[in-house]
Amino acid sequence: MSRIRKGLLSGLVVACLLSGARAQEATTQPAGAGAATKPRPLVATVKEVKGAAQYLKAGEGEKWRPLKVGDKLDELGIIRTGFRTRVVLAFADNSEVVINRATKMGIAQFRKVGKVTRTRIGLKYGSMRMNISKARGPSDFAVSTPVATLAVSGSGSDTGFSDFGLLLGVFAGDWLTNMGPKHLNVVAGETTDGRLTRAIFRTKLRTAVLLGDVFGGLGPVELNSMIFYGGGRGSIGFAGAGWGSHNTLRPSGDMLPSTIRIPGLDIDIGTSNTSPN
Amino acid sequence: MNRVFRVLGVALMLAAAGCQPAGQVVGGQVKLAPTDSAAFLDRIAARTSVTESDAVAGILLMLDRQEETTFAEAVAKLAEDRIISSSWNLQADRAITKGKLAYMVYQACRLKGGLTVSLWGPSQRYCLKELQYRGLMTPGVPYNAVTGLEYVAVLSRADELRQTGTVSRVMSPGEGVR
Repeated sequence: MSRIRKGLLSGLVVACLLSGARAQEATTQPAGAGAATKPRPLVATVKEVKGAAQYLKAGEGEKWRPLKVGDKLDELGIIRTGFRTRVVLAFADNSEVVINRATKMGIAQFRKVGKVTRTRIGLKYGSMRMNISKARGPSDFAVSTPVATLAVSGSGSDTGFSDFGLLLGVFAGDWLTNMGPKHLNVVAGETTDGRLTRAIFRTKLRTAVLLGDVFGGLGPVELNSMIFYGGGRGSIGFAGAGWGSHNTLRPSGDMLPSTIRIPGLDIDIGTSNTSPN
Repeated sequence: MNRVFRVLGVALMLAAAGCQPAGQVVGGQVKLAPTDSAAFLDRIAARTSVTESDAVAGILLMLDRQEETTFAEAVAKLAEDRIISSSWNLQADRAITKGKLAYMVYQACRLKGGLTVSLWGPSQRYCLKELQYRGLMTPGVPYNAVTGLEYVAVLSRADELRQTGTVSRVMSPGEGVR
């Protein structure tokens, strides 16, 4: 009996020692790992400015300043452009973003996390052309609009957000589009919209549904019905406010585990990891 | 006899033109101060509706003809260039409608429409239909009010169309405009 008791006691002591060692390991490891992957903020440089463009630096209230070639842009900065305007931003990882006329966008994150360059951009309205480079290591690049988040695994796309909602046109590589639980992979040469409609259906929509969707109120089921069967109730139109348009903006915070909100831009920009390439 | 019909026809046309009542401008003294187009568009985009004075100011900005002026003077200037119909009743603080915006954009971009517009001249209804067909404006009817985001997007497309002759595929669902 005493032998059993001794055995149990020694087992308990060994278990305690082991758990202590593990706890010690657990407390020391993240500190080391954290130091290794401590994010290092990067800056984007203004390469070209044509027309009226302004920049708002984080923490400067409403003090917009004219954008000039060579300006360095930090995280949480916002750019807005006017008519006949074009701005080219060169990112430190060799990526390039062209901001077109009548656009407002912000840089939520641009930093090096380990070997990965993480970029998070918010597009409030207007359009941009993005060329993502992986020449200097893996890139984790995503764009958030008021209705959807786009994560790049390829290299180039045009993105616009207007009264027609989100429109994405990919010219190189693949782009993964997320909207709530819905995902769509858009490959080079394809386009999609705020409903994450497949390219082939968008072509059909332009031909079959125009007459039925006078008020822009068709839901996905009604759209499919129009595409496949035509006519019916669609011929008299559907009342409604549209779906995936600016009338039904959904906060992207609902669908993303972590978001950031740039003061003055007022959209939630997802900061969680996509799969870097 | 033939001559009589011709004279009658001309007289009828003149009468029709003369009968068109001249529009009234309410709030004509409202000042349209010169502003930066980036700041102007940012301010307008956040609004739920756009006033007629702001809409006129935006068109002048897009045409790069902005100067210190009043709403009435700006309307007179645009009416002279046929961008605004001289028969419209305008009110500085009233929300602009899709029909009026479509007419202004159609005229500012010097678009050429279909059969109806060619025969009878531009009207709010048919300019809107033309712009919707070209993917420059969203669906809706001429009396619908225009939201700030919609106004900014329409002017952005019009500006691009005036500068380049096309509209990019991500600003219009029509895969590049025409």
